[in-house]
Amino acid sequence: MRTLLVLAGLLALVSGGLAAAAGPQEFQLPSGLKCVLLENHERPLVRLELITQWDPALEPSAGNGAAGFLFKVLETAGAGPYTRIVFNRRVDEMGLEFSFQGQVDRFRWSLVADSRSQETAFELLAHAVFRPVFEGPEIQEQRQLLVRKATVASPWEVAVDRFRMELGDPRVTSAGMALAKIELKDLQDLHKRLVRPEHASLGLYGDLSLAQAKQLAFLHLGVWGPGPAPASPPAPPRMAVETGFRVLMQAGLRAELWAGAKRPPEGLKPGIEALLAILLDQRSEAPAGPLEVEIFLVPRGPVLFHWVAAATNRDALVPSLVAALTRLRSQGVTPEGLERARLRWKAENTALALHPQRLLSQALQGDRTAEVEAVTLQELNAAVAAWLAPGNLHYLLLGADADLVKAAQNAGLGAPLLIQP
Amino acid sequence: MSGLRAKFLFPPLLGVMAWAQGVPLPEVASRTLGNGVKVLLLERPGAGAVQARVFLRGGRANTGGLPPAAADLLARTLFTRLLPEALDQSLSGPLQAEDGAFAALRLDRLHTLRAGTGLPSSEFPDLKALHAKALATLVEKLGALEVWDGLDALGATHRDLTVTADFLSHGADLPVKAFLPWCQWEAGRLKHLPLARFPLERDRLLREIEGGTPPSSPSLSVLLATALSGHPYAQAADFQRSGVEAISLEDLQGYGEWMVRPEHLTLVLVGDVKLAAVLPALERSFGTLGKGVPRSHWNPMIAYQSEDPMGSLESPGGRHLLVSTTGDTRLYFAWRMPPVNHPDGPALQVLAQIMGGAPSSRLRQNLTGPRGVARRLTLKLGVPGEREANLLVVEAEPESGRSMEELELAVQGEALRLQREVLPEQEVRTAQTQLEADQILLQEDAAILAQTLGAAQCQGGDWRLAFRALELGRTFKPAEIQSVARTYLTPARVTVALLAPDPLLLSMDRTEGRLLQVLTALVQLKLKDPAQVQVVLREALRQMRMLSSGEREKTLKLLEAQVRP
Repeated sequence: MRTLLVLAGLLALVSGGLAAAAGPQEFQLPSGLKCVLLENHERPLVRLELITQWDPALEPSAGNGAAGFLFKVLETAGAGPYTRIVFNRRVDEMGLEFSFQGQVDRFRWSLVADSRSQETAFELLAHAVFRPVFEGPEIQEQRQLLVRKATVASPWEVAVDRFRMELGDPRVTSAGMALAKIELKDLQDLHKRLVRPEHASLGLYGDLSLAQAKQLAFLHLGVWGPGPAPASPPAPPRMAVETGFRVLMQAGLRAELWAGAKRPPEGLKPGIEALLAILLDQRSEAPAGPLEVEIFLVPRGPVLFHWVAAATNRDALVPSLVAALTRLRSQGVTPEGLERARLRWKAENTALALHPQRLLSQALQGDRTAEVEAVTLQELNAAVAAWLAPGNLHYLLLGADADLVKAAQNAGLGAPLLIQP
Repeated sequence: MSGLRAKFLFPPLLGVMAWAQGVPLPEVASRTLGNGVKVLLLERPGAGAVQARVFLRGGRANTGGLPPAAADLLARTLFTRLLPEALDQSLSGPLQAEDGAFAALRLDRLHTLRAGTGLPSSEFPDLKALHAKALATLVEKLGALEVWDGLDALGATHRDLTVTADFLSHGADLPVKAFLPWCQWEAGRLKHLPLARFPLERDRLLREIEGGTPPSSPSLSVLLATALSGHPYAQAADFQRSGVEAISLEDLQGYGEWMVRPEHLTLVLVGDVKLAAVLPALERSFGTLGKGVPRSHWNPMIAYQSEDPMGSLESPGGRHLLVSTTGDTRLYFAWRMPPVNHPDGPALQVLAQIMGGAPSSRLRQNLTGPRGVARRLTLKLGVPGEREANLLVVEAEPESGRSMEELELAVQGEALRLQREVLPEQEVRTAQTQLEADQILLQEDAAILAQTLGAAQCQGGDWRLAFRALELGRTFKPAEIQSVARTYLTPARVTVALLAPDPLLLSMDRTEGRLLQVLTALVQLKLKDPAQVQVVLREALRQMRMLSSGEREKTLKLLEAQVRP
């Protein structure tokens, strides 16, 4: 009888493993870890993505360089019973692909394994995520590397990083200033506050069934308990973004003008954000005469306009960016533009099946189709006009000379604030 | 925990069972259309979309008498935006006018340079205005299409463009219902070669070169020119402003007509399409592309000599370069390697993997990290392409406080150890496992798979070359890997290049510029030999850059006091 039961269980698992479920299948561990599975048995591959996120506003030290420091330390820290060297060797021996990325408001671990190695993949992921081994000497070395990096950075790089960081760009993690004060205990506490199952999601894609996914998630990540979070240190004073425009005087061949606006305090509706990201990206592609042009809507961050001029067309730098901002504010998006953006959104969603990594990210974010469909032209243009209102915009002028500074003042960018190299 | 683990024994067991069935190669259907266009198709039923990619064989290394930038210009001009045929024809006049104005402006600048006066000619302002007007006319007429074009209207997304030494490729994701219209649009574009965007793309490329971000790095250009001199790839990374400016509309037209021929074309489709269903549409569109006759003035050189791949690996001796640059400090080790379809290819892949293909590989493990000699190290096989004799390149940057010589010795030491010391069998197994895993992973994303299939087809004439590790069906012995190491990693086939920034070539701020003037005046009082003067100035500038800006200002004042009478 027992043999029959085992056989039945085995058959159930096998049949479960061979059938592909169409959409995302969700389950949650008692710790609060949300898991999303997308089955695909075409290839013997399993992809695991674990994202843990936090609100930088509630964790002020994270935005002040500590998250970046923790990220660098985690990159080289031991994991569970392994030193980093042994961990890397395990990853390599099994032919796994491992990566770890960090931003000011999230960490992301990714592992891809063939079907044979799925259990090892779960085990290594668990070690890397919630069993890091911090070593004092390693921390010192990372601290020195980061300090050295900050020291050798050019005034140009420092100015751009500071500008973006103050506008809340989560991709800029290297603050540098707080590093000297952070000790081993601070990092351990920060890790406990930031890397928590109740604020994390695990995405699973590929050649495993729901039953297998649940079993492996429980086995390896089930012991990751929320536990009490150490108290946050007092918030450092908030960096105020000065009015006027910052200038780095450095006459040369190249000049850059950045404009940016912080994310609205009330946030953006997901549908508006999705469509605006498409529309602004598409404008970056269009030629703006003789200048290099980039526009980014940073996810969970600011909107940034980056204009670059060469020696021969510095005169066009300020007028071109100011005109583009004015046009966006006053004319906004046309009905045709909105329809194009919606079409692009739908097409991108349709094509997700071709790109498993993107498909998994989308599944972890949740479906936004209804929100995108609901956006009206008036709503979109009102959001653009409010976000890009002159009072919200901040500017950074790099590689400037007296003529460029004068042009910026005449264009109404405010008073110049000189950056000391 | 042990009880819990015993309870969950099934999943790994199932994993092994799945693996035991073997990992087949992707099921690629291959056809050749009536006119010679090659089609590779891999079905992904139910995906609802298709990744469609066009490959043109012959890239930066095969531009005839034109500089390699011609490949980039052709690809960008043709594929960045989709222009309707009628619009392109209506822009013929303004395009010719811009081309003429640009050529006149260029000749005028050359004339001024030769005259050596440093002053622009009297015609220069008029020529500049004429050119600006012609360009503005083009931009205005292209208008809205520069933001949204016909492919956008079809729902094409994730459009991308790749230019390599061996091929150009352009791909996009398409909703299935857009596939047939896409065939017509794309074939029409290849048939009519719309070049109206040429001036825009030329300007963009010039800006990239001027801004220090050319499509290929200048240091790679130096390396290729030396390590592969006399071979097709020698100039494949050479992007000079003058070279780009010298490419005329007529040149690009001739090159385009030669490139866009059925025998150079491969279509790769991965997604929700079936070959039998789409073949008639492909014949009606891409199948109608004529062989055409390239313009008589176009005379492409014979680029490839693949009938004697080993001959092209011969070298009179190893080369050692010291290069002054305006960029970063770099060390290159470059060994000559055979084309991708050479029988030693799989063993060389394993060798490269052992050397630097993974975090725990030899060079990365022993040379990088907080206590290593290298701050950064990468290893690449098939630089800059794989169709001809190419390079296995180790690129490294010394850790702060470590010298280039230390780094060079360390890399050399690792290469010699690999040839002379016992190579553990486990290391070879691990490298093969990694390669197999990589080649399975390549099949996951449709865009990456399409790019991989097309690249292998263009470079080696067979898409299966991309999956040689999976096809091999046997494990290498350490002796085999050491044998290829001894054959290819020889001193006679290596080029070592040490690139270091020259303080005299770097851009200077006001203080540095003034410091250089003062120092020059002082040094010239003591030394007469200009070469010796430069040596002293270089070292002085190097040391000055270690000071803070305040200290530099103070030093400048002290030195100025010595120069003043």
